[in-house]
Amino acid sequence: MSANSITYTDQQIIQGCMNADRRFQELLYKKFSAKMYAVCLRYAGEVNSAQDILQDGFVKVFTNIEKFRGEGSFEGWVRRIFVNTSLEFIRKKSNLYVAQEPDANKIFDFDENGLQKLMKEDIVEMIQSLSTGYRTIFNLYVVEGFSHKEIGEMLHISEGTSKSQLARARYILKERLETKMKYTSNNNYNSSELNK
Amino acid sequence: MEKFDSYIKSKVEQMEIEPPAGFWHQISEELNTTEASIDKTVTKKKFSYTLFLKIAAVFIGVFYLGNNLNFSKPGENQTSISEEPKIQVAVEVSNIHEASYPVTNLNSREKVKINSLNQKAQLKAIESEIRNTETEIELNTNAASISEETFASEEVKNEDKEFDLTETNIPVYALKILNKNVPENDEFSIIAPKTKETQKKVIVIEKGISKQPSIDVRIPYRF
Repeated sequence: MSANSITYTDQQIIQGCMNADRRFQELLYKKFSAKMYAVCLRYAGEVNSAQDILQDGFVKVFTNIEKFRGEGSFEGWVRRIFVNTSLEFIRKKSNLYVAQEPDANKIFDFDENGLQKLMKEDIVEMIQSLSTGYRTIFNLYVVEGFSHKEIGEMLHISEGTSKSQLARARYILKERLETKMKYTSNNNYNSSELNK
Repeated sequence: MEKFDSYIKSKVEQMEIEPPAGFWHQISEELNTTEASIDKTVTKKKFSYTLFLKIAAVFIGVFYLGNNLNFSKPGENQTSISEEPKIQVAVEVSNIHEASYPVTNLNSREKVKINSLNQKAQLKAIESEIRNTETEIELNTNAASISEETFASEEVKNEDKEFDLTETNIPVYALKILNKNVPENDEFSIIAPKTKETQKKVIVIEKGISKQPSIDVRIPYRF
């Protein structure tokens, strides 16, 4: 009876991976690969880099799985490995240049109903279009939930820089999303006009 | 801003994007390579550890030997041998005018055995040396008696051929002189009294001499 045909608990899969059993490693890959690939795409900015991060991340998970002590969820542990791998990749491949810009705390309002029309893939694409510094800080703060202090320690920048960069990233992202919404609505309008 | 953040987070956080098909095989190959390199590292570490243990064992062995073996000087070895004689030959001559030297005493008490040809050669060398030094020997003919202790060396181990000293024509005058140059295993040993360090006393034993005085032989320290 193969490992694929049986439903295993997380603990059994983890134990199988600790024994370096390739079948259980494949099960773990199938369970987390889609979520982690999305994480990699958000940080990497393009597909090839995201695939490199995905491969390195899974190798790290399998070779360090015995270090998982069971504190917290296993998915959280795996996710943290992928985030750290992404940060390492960004440091290696591109200088994580974080510009010292003035705080961009302008009046921030957005059309919530318009954003609802956007697809998830569109949002990820807009995040990917941000520069490396903005993208990294936005992902770490908004999606992963790190504080500015933690981000400052991780990226070796000050808390103030992290805050200002996040504000700038938000502003740019909002503008691009609004542009995308207009473009999408125009397309919908045009297509509806054509259908008439 | 918080609404914007939470909206983006809700859209993105649980998002799933399937990686390209067959991507697992790339990861599997990478895992094989990584595991092989890890095995090599472990083997290297084990080898290094074994080598370290061997070197440590050699060091400990050398240290132990160095502490327990006494690498003393040759002169010190000679002293230690002379202090622990195994065979003791006592010769006593009561009357210096007696016609014959009590060779029988020697016969009855101890036979010095010379076994190997090498030892014979050594004996001859000693004999010739003694002949050369005869002129320097002072014989004290007035002495009433000689009472000395003669210490022979350790029993000879080689048993290939026996050589009875009493049955030869070799006039043996002296057997051994305390000298650091004399080999350890020399089969003749006469120990000089400790009182006189500069001159060594030797008992001279000669077979077939009618006038055999009690002798106090003093041989200069030559060897």
